[in-house]
Amino acid sequence: MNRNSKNDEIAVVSVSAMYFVLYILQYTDNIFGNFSEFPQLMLAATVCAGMFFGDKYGAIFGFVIGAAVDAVSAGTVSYNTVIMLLIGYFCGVAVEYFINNNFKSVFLVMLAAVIVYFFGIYALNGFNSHLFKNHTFHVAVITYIFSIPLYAAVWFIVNLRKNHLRK
Amino acid sequence: MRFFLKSRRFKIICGVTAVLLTVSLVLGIFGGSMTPQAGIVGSVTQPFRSFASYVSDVFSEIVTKYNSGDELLKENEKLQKRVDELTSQVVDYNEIKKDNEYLRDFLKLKEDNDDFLFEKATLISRDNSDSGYSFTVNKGSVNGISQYDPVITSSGLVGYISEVGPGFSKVTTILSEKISIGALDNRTSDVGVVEGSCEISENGKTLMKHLSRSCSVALNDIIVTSGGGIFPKGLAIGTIESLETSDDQTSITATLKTSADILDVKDVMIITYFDGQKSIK
Repeated sequence: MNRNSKNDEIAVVSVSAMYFVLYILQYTDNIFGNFSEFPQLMLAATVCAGMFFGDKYGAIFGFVIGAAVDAVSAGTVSYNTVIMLLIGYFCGVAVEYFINNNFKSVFLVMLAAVIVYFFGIYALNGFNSHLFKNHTFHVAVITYIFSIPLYAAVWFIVNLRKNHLRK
Repeated sequence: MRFFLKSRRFKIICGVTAVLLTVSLVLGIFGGSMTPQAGIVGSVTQPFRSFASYVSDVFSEIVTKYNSGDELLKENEKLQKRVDELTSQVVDYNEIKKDNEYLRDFLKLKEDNDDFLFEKATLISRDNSDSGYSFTVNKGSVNGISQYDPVITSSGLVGYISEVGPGFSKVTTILSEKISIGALDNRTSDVGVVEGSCEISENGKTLMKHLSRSCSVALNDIIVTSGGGIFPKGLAIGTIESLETSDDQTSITATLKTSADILDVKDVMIITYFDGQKSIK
């Protein structure tokens, strides 16, 4: 789905609703227990938005999701808003100009997004290698792992709508 | 590629990014308040987060009751209260003892607390991907909360307010690696610096570093804030669980079990004023 083809609004709203629930679940205390390492699902959500809905929606999703993450994360100022805006936008651009939106390319795009995002976190923590080795790196790995099922969920919603419209 | 770089959308993205970075830079310099976009989105999502937190609490209470039984829960609450009482008594006892033995002007914790102004707050969301277990509370600038206000429970210190939004604030806990607190042993007055560590934070533990090798701290000693920073003097931080010589062999590092149960904290008190705070801000 590229910039020239109109996005299915119901698919966008459905994915937004899913992201909202995911956000509430991710940041609700005790709902999954107190894990020291928890995936940054909102990053994966931004990547999926860019890949499925194009650069414009990718940037909008990235901006809103980033601001929402900044509202609950300590010491990030605007980091999440800026980085997710850019990640959402460039994922949309990548799908439009350079790669196809399929399960093969998502591994590569997610990896790039995870590296960029968590390198930024590493820099934000003052290049604290101890924290990176013992925490940030683990979060990056589990974020990457959890991003694939999330991509599948978004793919399912978007394709469900496509099939429905075809009928 | 050239078309993409010259596109209107790319220019808009660059503009928005520049604005966001400028705002961040300004806020980074002056500090305190949250970025406008985070404040707006945070305020919009706050009711949902509060509701989800409430549902989560109810659900977790049901599960706990189901698993451990009502009586066990009551007994546990009673014992916890007693432990808090005893901890507080030990703090008082040592303070009074010190007052009598060494310094007449050493202020007692209870006397110190007279100048405290409190604001009760409830946790509404927690950053699960943060190794320091930072969280958000339902009180903000409209409730008189400011950056660096200490956050406590009846058991001890939790952390401080790191960012303030209109109706909510972020709390950086004493488990975070970003925090550094001047602290002293309540019994011996040995001083050190409390800093979080991601390796032990999941067990509700933190580290007290830079203790002199000649210090006389012992296991189960209570560590309190030394004052002079953003925290008032005498707030219980934790109890010494273990001691070891630091890697460079020049000092001793103590592992503390925090007095406040930071991993399961729900209601906290924010100290909005204490004597000496104005000069810090």
